[in-house]
Amino acid sequence: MPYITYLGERMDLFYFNLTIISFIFGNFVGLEYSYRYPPYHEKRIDKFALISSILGGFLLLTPLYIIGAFFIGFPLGMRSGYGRIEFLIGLSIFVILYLIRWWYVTG
Amino acid sequence: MDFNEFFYLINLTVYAFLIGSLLLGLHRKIMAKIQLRPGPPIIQYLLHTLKFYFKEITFPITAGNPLYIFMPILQIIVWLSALILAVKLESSLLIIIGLYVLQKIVEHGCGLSSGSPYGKLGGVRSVFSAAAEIPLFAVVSTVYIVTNSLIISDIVSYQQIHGPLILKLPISAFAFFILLVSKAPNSPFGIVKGKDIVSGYLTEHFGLLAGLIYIGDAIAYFVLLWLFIAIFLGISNIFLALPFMILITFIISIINGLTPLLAPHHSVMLQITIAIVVLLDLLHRVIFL
Repeated sequence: MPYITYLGERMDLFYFNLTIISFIFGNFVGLEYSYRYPPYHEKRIDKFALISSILGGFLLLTPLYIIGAFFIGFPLGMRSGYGRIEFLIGLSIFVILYLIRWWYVTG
Repeated sequence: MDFNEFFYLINLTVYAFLIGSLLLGLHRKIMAKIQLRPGPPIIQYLLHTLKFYFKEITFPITAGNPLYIFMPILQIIVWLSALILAVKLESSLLIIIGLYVLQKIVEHGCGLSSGSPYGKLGGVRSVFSAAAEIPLFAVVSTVYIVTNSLIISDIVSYQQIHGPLILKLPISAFAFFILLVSKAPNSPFGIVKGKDIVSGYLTEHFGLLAGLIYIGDAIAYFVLLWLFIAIFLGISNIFLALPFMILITFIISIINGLTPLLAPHHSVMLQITIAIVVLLDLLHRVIFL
């Protein structure tokens, strides 16, 4: 299975498509989940979305990145007023870990 | 064509559709945020597209049926061909322009075959806004003058040696960018689908046919963004182009979110003005070559 962090020729289009579909599915599940709550609660942090986002940020850097895309898509897909902070936390974790690994690999 | 090649083409089509849909969803989201609205989720465009497949299929009494059904299929054919010729084969820009002009026939045919006055007005405006193609021809000519080739792979190779063309041809890049803006939804140049005429040529297309047009639009958006990035930034890899696609969508959303829909003659005159500027740039390059 190809590795998402090696962008470019090594990346297989088929697996990338699966990743996008998984991400879209995560968005959809997040949307469904957030409609159980009243609209627009900006200050509230959903524990489930936060865990999902952090897990997604970690998994995106492993061979299980297809599942990671699902988890990180979950908070992004939530209705307006939900999931913004959770998603940014997950994305930050992914970016930081990616940069650390890039720095480690390149020397 | 062997199985691997076929499998790659299928994957490429799915990729273009998914990325195009998500970018158009992102476009709506950013526009909403600029206008201080919550906005739909970024998968909204995709959900809309899928929704149309579960709708009842009927045809208006006024519709001219063969053309009415054929036009959405032609839309898919046009943009799938453009996708394969541009992204897969990195073929000639002239063929891509030819296919782009075919899009006008789709818009015109959709509008006129529906029998709706709004559709007809959209079709007429589509022909009226053919001025948008003049900058495109001028851009292609300028690119040819500089790179001595119209093959996309040659243009990309040229940029790998001499640097991105956006630095050498800023006026052409701007004109092409305006073309991207005019193709995006809710654009100030979007007189063909303007809300003053309901949805223009799309007004009477619903159900499965609207779903087909939506798929075509998503692929079209992807192909045009890729063309801009390949021609002016020299990046032809579809994965490396992705961050630039998001960035360009962000800029287009800001422009579309902050500008009102222009009146048809204003839109056309502005595009003709841009075309004149690019043609003057071309003339200057031809004379002082």
